[in-house]
Order: sequence, then C-alpha cells, then structure tokens
Amino acid sequence: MDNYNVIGKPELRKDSRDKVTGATQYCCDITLTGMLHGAVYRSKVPHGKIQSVDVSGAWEVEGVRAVVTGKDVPYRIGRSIQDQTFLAIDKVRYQGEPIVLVAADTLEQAYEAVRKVKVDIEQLPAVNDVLEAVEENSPLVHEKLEEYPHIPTVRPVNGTNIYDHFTLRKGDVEKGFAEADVIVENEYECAILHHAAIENHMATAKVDASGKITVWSPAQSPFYIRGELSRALGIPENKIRIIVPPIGGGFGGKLEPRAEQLAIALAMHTKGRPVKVMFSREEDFLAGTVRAGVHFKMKTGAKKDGTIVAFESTNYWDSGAYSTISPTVTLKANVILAGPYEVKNIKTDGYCVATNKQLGTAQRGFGVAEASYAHEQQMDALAKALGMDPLEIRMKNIMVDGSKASTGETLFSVGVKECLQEAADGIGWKDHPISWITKEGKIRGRGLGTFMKFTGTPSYTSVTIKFNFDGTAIVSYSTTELGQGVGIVIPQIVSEELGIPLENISTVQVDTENTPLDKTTTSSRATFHLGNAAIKASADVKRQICKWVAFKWNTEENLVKFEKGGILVEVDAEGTPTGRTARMDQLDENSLIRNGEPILGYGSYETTNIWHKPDLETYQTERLTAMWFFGANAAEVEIDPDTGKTKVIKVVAAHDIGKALNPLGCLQQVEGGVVMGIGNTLLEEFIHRDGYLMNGNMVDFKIPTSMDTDVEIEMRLVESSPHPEGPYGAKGIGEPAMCATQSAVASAVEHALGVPVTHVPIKPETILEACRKRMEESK
Amino acid sequence: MIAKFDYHVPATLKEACEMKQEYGSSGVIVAGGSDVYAKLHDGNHRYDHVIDIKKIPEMKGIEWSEQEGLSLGAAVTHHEIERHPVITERYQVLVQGVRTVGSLQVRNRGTIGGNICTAAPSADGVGPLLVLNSECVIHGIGGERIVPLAEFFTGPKRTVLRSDEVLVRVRMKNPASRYGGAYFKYGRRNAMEIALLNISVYLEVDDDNKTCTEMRIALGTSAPTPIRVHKTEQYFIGKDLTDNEAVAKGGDLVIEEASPRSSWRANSNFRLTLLRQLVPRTVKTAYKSLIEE
Repeated sequence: MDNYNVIGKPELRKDSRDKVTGATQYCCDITLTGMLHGAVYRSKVPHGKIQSVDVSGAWEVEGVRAVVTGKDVPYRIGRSIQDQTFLAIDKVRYQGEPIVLVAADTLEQAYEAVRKVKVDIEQLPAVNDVLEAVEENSPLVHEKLEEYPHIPTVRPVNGTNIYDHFTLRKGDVEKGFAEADVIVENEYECAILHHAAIENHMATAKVDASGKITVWSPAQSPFYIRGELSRALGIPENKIRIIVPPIGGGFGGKLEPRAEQLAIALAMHTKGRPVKVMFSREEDFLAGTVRAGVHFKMKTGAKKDGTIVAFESTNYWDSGAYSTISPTVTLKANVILAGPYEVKNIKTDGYCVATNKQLGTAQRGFGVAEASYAHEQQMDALAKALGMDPLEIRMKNIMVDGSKASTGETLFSVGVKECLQEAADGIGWKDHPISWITKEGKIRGRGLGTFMKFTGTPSYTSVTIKFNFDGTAIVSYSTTELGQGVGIVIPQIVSEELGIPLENISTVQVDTENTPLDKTTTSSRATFHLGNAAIKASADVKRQICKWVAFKWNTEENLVKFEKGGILVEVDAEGTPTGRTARMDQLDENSLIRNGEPILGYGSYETTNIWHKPDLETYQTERLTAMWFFGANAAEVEIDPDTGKTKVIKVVAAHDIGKALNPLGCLQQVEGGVVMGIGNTLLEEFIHRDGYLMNGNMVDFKIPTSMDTDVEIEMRLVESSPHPEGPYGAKGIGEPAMCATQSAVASAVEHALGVPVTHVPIKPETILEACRKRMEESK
Repeated sequence: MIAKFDYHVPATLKEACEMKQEYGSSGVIVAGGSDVYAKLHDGNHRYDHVIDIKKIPEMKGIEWSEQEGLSLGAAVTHHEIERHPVITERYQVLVQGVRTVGSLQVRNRGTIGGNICTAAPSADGVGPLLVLNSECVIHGIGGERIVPLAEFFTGPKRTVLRSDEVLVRVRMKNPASRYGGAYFKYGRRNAMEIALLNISVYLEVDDDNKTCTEMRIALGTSAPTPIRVHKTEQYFIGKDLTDNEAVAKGGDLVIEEASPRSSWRANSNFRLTLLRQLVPRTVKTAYKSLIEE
C-alpha cells in the first residue's frame, strides 16, 4: 500500500457548494460600468454570395453605439488553416454565420437594430453531404482553399473541399491482406453532435486607449485563444488579456474563439466602452461548434486463429464550413483507428472535409469515441466471421507492454488487457449468452468496447505556489476548470507534497496576465502535466522554506529536512535529529516565517524532449505522445421489439488510470462520460436538409435528461500499469470516460439484433426491422 | 430574444374576451407561457400584446362532485392535476397523460387549457380528455357555449375559438366505477419530450371481466389534430380482451384511421408501424389496470 495522506482519497470538489447553491458568478453575470450589449445578424442561409449589406436601419434605432460589418474587421482566424474571418465578407458558408454586429445601450435595442439590418444574399447550392463533397463536381465551400495560410502539417487539396488529407502507413497492407484467411469490410457513420454545454458561448471585451484588449470569456484554453487572436489582429500577445470566470461546461466546444472575436470587433468601435456578446441557445446550436460527422470505410483481415494481420480505412470527416482544429480530430482518430490491438500492417487515409454546415471542432475524445465505435464493430464482425467469441478475439490481439502501436512505436504502461478483462467480468461475460430474450419479450444483448487515445504532445504547463506565513498556499495555473476537477486534484497534490491540509489550499482565477503559461485545457492532460508541474513547484516551496527556517535556526540549509506530513526537522552533520522541529502549519506561531522573504515556488512541465516528430506521409515515429490512455467498457442493453427503443441497463467502465489521485473525481468523470456516451449513441444528432439545421434547439436535439440516466454504472479503476512519468503514476480520465461507451453500447445492440450497427445514433426506425427479424427467427 | 410586448392582465372574462377581440392577430392569450414564450424565443414570432388570463377566477381551480363529475379551470396547471386526490384515484388516465408533459418545472407552469388551446397534435393532456368524453366551456362577448372536446380542433394549431372567445373550463362526467385506462407516450427520451406518438385508452368490460362493452381510443400526432378512432373502437365492442389475436387485430384496423405525416422527426410509415404495435399494447395495459384493480 502506498503511504499517502491526501492522494488516492475521495475528495469533494472545492467549487461544488457554490455551484449547487447558485453562488458562482459565471460570464453571463458580468456587468461592467458603461457596458454595451452586442447582438449579431446571422446568415439565414447555409451558402451564398453576399450582394449587399445595408445597416442604415440599425443606426436609426435608439441607443445604438456601434455597427460593424465584415469589411471593418477583415481579420483571419483558424488554428489549422486561416480560412475564417471574424464576420462574413463576400460569402456565407453556414446557416448562422455572423455578418453584422451591433452594440447598443440595452440588449433590446441591440436586437431591435439587428432586425433592421438588410442583407441581400444570392443563394448557392449547399454542400450538405460529406461523400458528395469529395466528388469531383461538387460545389466548393472555399473556392481557393490553397490560398489561405496553413500550418505545415495540414495538407489541403487544391480545388476540392478537402481541408486535409491525413495518411498513416505501417508495414505492408497488401501483403497483410494476402495472408488473411478472412477479411471483413464495412462502412460506419456517426452523426454531427453538439457539445450542448449548459453555458452558451459568450464574451465581454474592452479595448483601452493604448489598444490593449481585455476579454472575459469561458475560454477553455485562454492562451490558445490569445495566440489565435494575436495572430489574427496582428498585435502582440501581451496586448491581449483573457480572464476566465468559472466555466459552465466546455467538452471541447470552448476551445475555439466564437464570441470572443465578435465582442472584440465591437469593442474596437466603442471608444473604450466594454461590450458583452452572449449567444442565445439557438445561436449556440448554429454558430457555436459541433463534433464533426464521419463516414468510415473499414477493412480488416485476420488469420483463422483470430490474429489480425491487416487493417485499412478511408474515412471522411464532415468538418463543416471552417476547418478550426478539425484536421487534428481526423489525425487523432486515424492514429488509433485499428483500436488497441497490435496490427502489423495498417493503412489509413483520413479526409477532413468542408461542407456548408456547422463548424466541427474538438469534442471530448477528439474523434476517438467515433473511431472506437467503428473498430469495435469490426471486431464483432471478425468474431462472427471466424465463429469466435467477441471477448476472445479482442484478447487475442489486445496490446500489452511492448506492443507496437500504429505509429511503429513501442508502448509501455499498457493496462488495456486488464481493463478488458475487468469490463467483461463486471458484465458477467462468461456466465451469460451475448444475446437472449427476456420473459417479457424484450431482446437483451451484451457488448464490449475498447479504446486507446493519446494526449497532445509536445505540450507545456506551469504552476506557481505562493506560500503564506499562516501555513496556507495559493496555487496558480492556467488550466481551466471545466468540471473535470482540476481545481481539487492540483490542491490535493500540493497538500500531499507540502504536508499542509487540503482546506489550506486555494486556487486562483485563470487570467493570462496573472496565472502562468499553459498550452491548453484539452486532451485529458491536466492531472498528468499540471500535476507534474505542481510537484516541482511544491519542491521549490519546500526548498525555500528549509532555507529560511535554517536561517532562523541559525544552521545550515542542508541540515533542515522536510519530512512527510509537513514536519521540518533539524539534523546534525551525521544526519541525526537534534530534536528541534517545526510544523508547516505552525511556522508563524513559531515566528519562523513572518517578515521573511516571500515564498513563491514555481514548477513547469513540458514534453518537447520526449516527442519525436512523426513522418508526415507514414506517421511513423519513435514516440508520439507523453501518455497513451487505455480502457474498456462493457454494456448490457434491452431492446423493445415493438418500439425499436434501446435501453442501456448497465455499463461497466474499466480504466487504465495508472493511479487514481481522487477516486471520487474519477467516478464523476466516468458517470458523466457514460451518460454522455449513451446520449451520443442513442439520441443525439444534427439533422440537416440542404445545409439547413432542422433541430437546433434543446427539444429536438436530444441530450439525455436526468430522467434518462437510470443506468447502472460500475467503475473499475485499473492501477496495475502506473505511468512512470505521471504524478504518482497517474494518467488522464476526462475523455477516456466516454471513449468506449458508444462502442460498447453499439456492440451490445449488434449482438442483440445480430446485424451490424452501421450508423450512430442508433435510431428506433432502423432497428425495428432488425428486431422483427430477430423475433421471427427465435420463434 | 423575445421582442417587446404589452402585458395585459384582465381581471374578468369579459375583459379578456374584449382584449382578445381588440388585439386580434397581434395578441395572444397566455397562461403558463410554456408554449407561448418558448415560441417567441425563436425570433420568428412576435406579438404586440400578451393577455395573461391567470387572474380570472372562472379559469381557476379544480371542482369535482359525484353528480357533476370533474371540472378543470383552463388555468389549472398540469402539476395541480397530477397531485389532486380525486383525479389520481378516479381519472388515472388523465394523470398518466399530464405527468409526461415536459418536466416538473414545465408542469408547474403549463396549464391544461394551454395544452388544449395550443392545439398541437401531440398534446399529452388532450388524448386522455378525449377518451373521458370531455367538453369545453367557452366564453365570448356574447356569452357562453359548450363544445365537445372532440369537436374543438379544426386543424393543426387551429380551434373553434372565435376571435373573441376563450376556453374557460374543461369538464367531464365521472367515468364508470370500473374501467381501465392507459396512456402511452412514444418519445425518444423520458422527459422534455414532444410525443412522436401518443395513445389514450378508456375501456369497460362486461360482468365476465373479458368482454369489451365500451372502448374509447384517442391518438396524438397521428393526424392533423388529436383524434378518436371510432371504427377501431367499434371493432373492440363485444371482443374478448384476453384474446391476444383479437386485440392485435385492433392494431391493423387503427392504421386505417390514422394519417400521420412524414417529417424530419419521423416518417409516416414508422409512425404507422408503431401504432400497429402499440395500440394493442396500450389496450392490454388498460385492461390489465382494470383487472388488477
């Protein structure tokens, strides 16, 4: 047993009480003196040429202080490709694209002014379908994709709708398939999803007389957004300050600047008055961000004994009107598309494609949940083709320490086999058939899902700790609290390291001007990266305290030892305790620290040195990432053959956590992830007709309600493979929590019905027919 | 964002009727607001005048007597209905219906009168009221008139209410001392859901506890308005409700009477397939509730 005081203990998040009682002040609560309210005129059509923009009517509305059109703010943003302007200028590419901004004294006036704006648009045929978008004669969303600046790792295909063509080549797939005894080939589709965070996109911006910009926004990754804005506006990063109040959920959707640039555009025209822009729920659906849809073509070859010898896929990501960070989603999914199975020969071609739909971007999992659904359907198809048990074929190929990934690198700290076994045990795999009919006439099925994912690398973060004379500490960092629990895990680490009580540790509001540099809050990286930085910062604090106490005790710095539990012990030259001690939380009482030097510890963690740049054509590399995540879910579903409705009875979620620093936090992540995964699998989808969004509201876009969460969730944390570089051995859990739920549920439905699940969400319409067939067969 | 409007709170029925007449299509009657304000939010709908009828005494309260039966004020909320002791005991099918409206928060605001007057084909409260043979008490400038609920709807979102008329109460006789009732709502999730389909059943049986003597079936989202399916109801009279085949045949008949439309939400064939399966199931549930009483 490890000997920790705080680490590994379930601890309640520090922000829970305020959030539950409503005391938390979010971005929407911000009101500044002289603040104006912004409103946005948005395109009503998905694709068209702007013929004219008439804002004279808007100016006539009382209280209007600024009206801004695209030509006033011709700045380009785009993480991968700079394909987007703050406002549409010549052309609109999605329904809801901003065209005109208004700032007025009141929100009512701003909305009234927006109603008076007249925009004449010549409509163009909308690119609605991702497979049609890549056909030669498809209309183009961007006529001159190649003319936009882009990062070197993205490869737009000129004259097409292809933002990026990702390629991975391992071994020789031709040879692999030639050796195969059985080959399964299938196609799978995932619908476009919305993050649907409780809090919509919003921002309040102020531009002072020197041109310095201050933004308050729920920016998931404030330094990332600061960088984007700095490049777009052509001003230095130190001229942009982003302050992040508590965030009402992100799920990846708040990685992209959405409201920030609009609030800034207005604030640049209001002579110093701050402007607040808040998206309505309808605007958030249309002009927030989405998880791209995807169409996978998959081909897997295996030997008679189940050994997979080759895997090939071409896949098309429906990334919408602007590319944002979508090429990275395509990349991340393609790297793990064969699943956590060792396959010698792999070839994937991932196309990140433009359509006249909402903007695809990061969502919890970065493409891995979709990929997991597809590779696990392939595993079930292989099992069926070979007459093998679905667990057995997975076990046959599952990765272990020393396995070679699709990138050719040798993996370490791989606990996925244990996870798969735990998930299977938890669902009672060997004791029950994979499918049966209950005495009430319902069809039950069990399924398995595995996943692997990597965290974005290279990456960097830093932590500072201000240690106060009263034995409390204030910890600063810029990874934002999105609900993932960073605000409790980092204090736990500092508490453990400094030996002061958890309640003595507070954290600071993220603010690019006051909290230290951090790359991003994505990729399930906070505990690992920030945790390492916090340990280093704590060590720095301890060193400074020992030095100061040594001074007070009139002894040598190296003769004051810091012992576990926060005890300072004086030793003699032989290392024997002299009997003089002090406690960290009593330094002040003993007059040891007040009036001393400020104690300000810092630590940073970055992963540039462990990262080896992959070859762009083959994506082969020595080491791609600081950390691979693994896990497995098992699910049991019940299908009503009269209604085609699927109910998830139980999900067992096993995660290769390395070391659970806060098991309660893990459980909260897993419960949320499972419910989110179930919503993705059974309910949620964007429905478009010719580029128009049909269901952009909370009634018709169906996220699960609390009444839809009566599923038994069993979490199993696997700690047999601690990460040698992780804090206390820990790995991430944020995205992993949902990465294998979709695949396990789809697998269970597949087993219940005996037919492949070729589309998620799984709709009652499409399974009614299969149900009836299944019932007839069993009669 | 909701555009500005004038907010009126008439104290009497007369005032409400006059206002409704005066403001015509620029005005709207509101009670709980769960339909009206939600609609205004999309920016495509605007009213200059919102007439809130919640303060009108005649529109409030639940009245019940052994002789007269049940009378619900139009401004009675769903939640008032679902917790009313007599209704939960004797009008279970109505409780089952209103309990599926939105969420508890919505049911605390939304009213039965609003559910009826919005005239959505999917209204959860309307099917149960139809199979309970409810009638509407309507007030206009000229006075009062009574219209059976079955004749209240003239089309999707359209009713018999004239430009000066408001729905005051909905009332119904007591159901038989022994009857079976069931409400089935088909939606994708278990709350905040507009029915893709709903079925309400009221039935009575003979002394043999099997032979159907009365059958009333109402369907939601199966036609432009909530409907009763009289031919199917007639078919069940005299049938043995323990005979699964006979009950199942009701499903084949009901799809002749239903005319659900195809939309991006669901196509008509899917809705018909469901009706065929679920009408017999709901009849069985209603029958079971009677037998197990």
